[in-house]
Amino acid sequence: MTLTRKSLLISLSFLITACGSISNERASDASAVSASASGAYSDQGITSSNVLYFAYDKSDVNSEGRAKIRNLAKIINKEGLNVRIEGHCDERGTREYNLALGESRAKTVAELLVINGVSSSKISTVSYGEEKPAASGSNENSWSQNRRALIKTF
Amino acid sequence: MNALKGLILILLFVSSQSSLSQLRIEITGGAEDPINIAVVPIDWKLEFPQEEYLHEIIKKDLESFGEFKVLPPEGMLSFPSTEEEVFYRDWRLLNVDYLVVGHANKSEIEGELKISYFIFDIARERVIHKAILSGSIKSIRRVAHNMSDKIYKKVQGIPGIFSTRLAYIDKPSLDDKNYNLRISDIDGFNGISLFSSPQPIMSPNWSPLGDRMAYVSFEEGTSRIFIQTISTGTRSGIKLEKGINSSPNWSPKGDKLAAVLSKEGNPDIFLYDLKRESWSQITEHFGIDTEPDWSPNGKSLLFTSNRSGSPQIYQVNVRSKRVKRLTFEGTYNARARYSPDGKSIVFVHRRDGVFHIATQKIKSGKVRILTDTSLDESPTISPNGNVVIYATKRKDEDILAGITIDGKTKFILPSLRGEVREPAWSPILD
Amino acid sequence: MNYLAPFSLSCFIHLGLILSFSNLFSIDIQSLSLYKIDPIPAYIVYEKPKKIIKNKRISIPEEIKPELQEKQEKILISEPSIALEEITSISPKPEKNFNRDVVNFSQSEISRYSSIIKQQVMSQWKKPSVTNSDLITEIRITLVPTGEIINTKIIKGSGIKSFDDSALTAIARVGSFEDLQMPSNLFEKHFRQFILVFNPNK
Repeated sequence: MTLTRKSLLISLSFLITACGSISNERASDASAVSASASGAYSDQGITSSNVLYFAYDKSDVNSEGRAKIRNLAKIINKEGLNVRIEGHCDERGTREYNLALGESRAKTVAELLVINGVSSSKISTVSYGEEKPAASGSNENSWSQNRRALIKTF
Repeated sequence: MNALKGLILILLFVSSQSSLSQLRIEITGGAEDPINIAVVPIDWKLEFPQEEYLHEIIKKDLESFGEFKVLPPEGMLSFPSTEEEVFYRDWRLLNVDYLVVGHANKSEIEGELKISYFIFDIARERVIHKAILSGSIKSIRRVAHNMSDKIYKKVQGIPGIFSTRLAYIDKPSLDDKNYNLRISDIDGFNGISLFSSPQPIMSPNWSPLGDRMAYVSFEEGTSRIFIQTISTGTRSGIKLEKGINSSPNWSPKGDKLAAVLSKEGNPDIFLYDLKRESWSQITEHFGIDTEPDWSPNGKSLLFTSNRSGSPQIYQVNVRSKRVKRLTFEGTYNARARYSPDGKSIVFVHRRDGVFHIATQKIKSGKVRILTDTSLDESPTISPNGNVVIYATKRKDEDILAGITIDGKTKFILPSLRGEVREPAWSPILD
Repeated sequence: MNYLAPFSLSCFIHLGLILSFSNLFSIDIQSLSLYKIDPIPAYIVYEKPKKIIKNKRISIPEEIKPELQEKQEKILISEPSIALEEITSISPKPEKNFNRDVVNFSQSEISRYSSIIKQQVMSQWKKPSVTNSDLITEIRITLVPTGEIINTKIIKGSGIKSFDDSALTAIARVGSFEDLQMPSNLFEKHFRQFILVFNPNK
């Protein structure tokens, strides 16, 4: 009895080690469905748009810019306009970091408007980072056009 | 008696002297050549002809990163389809290292097929894998990619990534006025637009199971984080805060998102609890903290911060909130991603004014530049840690390129339409 | 009192000690024999460099050749002690019928054949991608004098099957080492069985 049992065990273990077991595998399907933005922001209603330019990696406004802001502030207060400031960057550097840089540009301009008498409740800021360039092209000419803040009134 | 025992011990010790010094030879490296593999055209036993050939898809997969050289059918002396038909000597003569043979039959399940295949190690003359793979006849590419993954895993010891997908964003063009968030198979096939919008889309990030996508959309006129279920297309924005809402990054368990909010006055790293729908602050600093990436063990985050004067990579423990600086070379290090083993990081590194993708073993602190292209950004690592895909520019156009982590094989992704950016590699999809 | 048992045991132990210690300290028992040994001449000058390797088929790796050149040139001196040193280090061990257990082979000979083995294994080893981490596998190889590998055994695995398998596959691809003709006692002592340590050290 023990002999046959032993030989059975041996042959079984031999089978397992020699052949290996055959596995069952499955290639799964993956489907995807599209979606789209249900109504999106647009610049409708914007009455004017003014632009200020910045040096690379900087968010401080030059004297020309400050003069522009002073004049704009007068008009905004006179006509009781709302202001939307957009901060933009050139393409160099990472996108999210540029989103932060764009925001500091928009905020600097907003602060200057407030200093010039515009109520902060009338001002909203947004950063687009490098996502909405004014000019394409990987050269200083295009880049300088993209490092900007847009002051939109409505 | 003790003296006697001592003497016997000395005897034994001394007589065994010769066997203690067995020669050891160190094998410190291997051949740089790719592994030679032969994939015999699968014996197709179904009534209708195959639209695409499995062996061709597998060949293209395996040769993607310079690791394999696949013998074309023209070079074969025989076309076995079962174990019994394989004569190792024939394949040894062709200098083949591994052999794949199989046959395809109709499955009992409607619309499916079954492939019985074997992988052989020619040198050791043995079967190293055998399986019956079932899949939908309509998705023959998926079946082929599955086989490529199995072959890759058996030979290379790490998972194959041929069934993974890539998410990316394309910007408006003459054909399409919208930004599109797209996903496609890693080889560029089966591309589909997940989300389309006239306003910018940024920072796509796959959930750990690959079933959902988080991203930033400007559709409401400001940056907001959305989560979309891939199989259904349903999407919803997470709790909007004042200022920047961006850079979503899924936790390994899929229960939280790390992200960036500037509601406290400047961009900081926050966590969003998906169940509680609430935000909690992780970093607090007057500078810019952004681009969080969750560690594979879920305990810490990488992030970019300019707190030292210029962008550098930092690591923060999610629980203790203790911050540690990781990069010390160069004046611009940003957008870091952990390798799947958590031991290295891949990031954007500027040297001499040029933006490259670099890697660094976290502990050593030594930067190794991977790419020789410039204006590189958004690196994404394959789930097996072997390949990096990133965004770069070629002739003023946004394209995606890739490089193996050892720097040896470089490639460009050609099959994507228009100008594309922000690649995100899916996890291994089961 | 029975003195025989402890006495024979004592003799046995002493004999064993002497034999074993001679093993350890390389005491040449033969030199204690009463046979006459020819006196070594005081001056030896070679006109031509002596041919070092008897077996033409051994290919010597480039790096070792200058070493031999150096030794060949050194023969032309007249100091007896130096000449004697050169004779013993340059000429191969005379294949006389010694009943020695030990022959001390110079490190350079062992290195030479080790390099040949290492080169042949490395050229056949296609490292798997999993080698991006620190893995070490030790495999014991058994050869026959022709260089054919007749047995392989993993004595210390890396824990990763693909890595271990790749090493075994590399060895299988070699099958039989070439250019390993060497003195038979060198083979028996070091190369009939040795250990390959696969350690890519990233």
